[in-house]
Amino acid sequence: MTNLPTAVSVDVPATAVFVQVLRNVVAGVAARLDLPIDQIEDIRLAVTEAASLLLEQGDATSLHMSIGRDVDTMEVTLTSDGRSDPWPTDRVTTSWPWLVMKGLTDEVRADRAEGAGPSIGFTKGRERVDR
Amino acid sequence: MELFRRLPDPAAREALATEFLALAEYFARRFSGRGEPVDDLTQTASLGLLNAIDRFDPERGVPFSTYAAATIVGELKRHFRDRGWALRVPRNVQETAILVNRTVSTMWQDLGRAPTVAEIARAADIGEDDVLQALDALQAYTTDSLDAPVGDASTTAAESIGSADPSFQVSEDWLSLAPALRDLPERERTILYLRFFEGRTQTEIAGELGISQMHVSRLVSQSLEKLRRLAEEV
Repeated sequence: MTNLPTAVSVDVPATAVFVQVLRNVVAGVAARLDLPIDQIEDIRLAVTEAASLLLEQGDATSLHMSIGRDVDTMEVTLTSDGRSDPWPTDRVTTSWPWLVMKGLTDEVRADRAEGAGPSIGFTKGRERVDR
Repeated sequence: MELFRRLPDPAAREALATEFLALAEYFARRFSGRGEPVDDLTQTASLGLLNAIDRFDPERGVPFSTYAAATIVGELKRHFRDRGWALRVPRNVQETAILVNRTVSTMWQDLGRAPTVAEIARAADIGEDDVLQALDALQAYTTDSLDAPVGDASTTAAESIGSADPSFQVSEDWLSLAPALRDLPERERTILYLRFFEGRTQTEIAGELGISQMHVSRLVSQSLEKLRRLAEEV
């Protein structure tokens, strides 16, 4: 994990309706980083999948999303305030949303920080293009 | 018929194009009112007509008008397939989306990669937020138009796409990852399989299925969305 400086962070209620807000926020940030639209869409889809994994746990009331970035890379982490213990990492990393996130991004990770809820993050680097 | 024997003489081609222009215009009008400007449709239909003139074989005993009609309708269908989308988006968003869609399609082809939001905004002379909103609307709404009949009701756009690879079978263990995959239309399942199980790039899939990268990008988004909805229903 690279732990890039946080550019944007946002908290929303842990319901499917608010996942759209997260999608819009992440797409807006990616657009401002001048990523091409196919990569923006990849990131948007990856956020949706990450959120669905966290919401699946069913015991979260809010979702936190932080977006870190540098010139070439975006790092997005979603954390829920769910208490589901233990965070079933094995089941998560063999799930369909995980497979999709892996296909869409460069690196996916599932963590559980001390005193915090489960989190899912991914890193997406700008693909090299000739401008 | 005399003119056909003189092909590929440019003057004969020109004369035929003029003679059958009304046919192209007729079909362009029939496909109007679906969110695409009539001028674009006429141009597309005319392209279909020229293709028909170039490919027509008088020896096969089919009247040229029949052959040309099929080619023109085919060209128009392809046009809608590449740009096709449903008409439920609010009017102003819809107009912007048409503009953005066309701009993206052209730029993607010209640049050989997906454009950025800023590039699209510059080219279409609208705000970046408008571009983002339009892209969101386009991703969300294309599904319906793909399932809707295009032109005559006998084939849908989705069927035309699938014809690129009719024999495709996906492996069982992959389906067990997400049971709702079984309920997806075959070609959407195919695209998800290629993208996420075989790890193919959008470019490769576009080449394989003979559709644009932009279209692949949209189909991936929409299939994932549909899959999620299906999973929730279970």
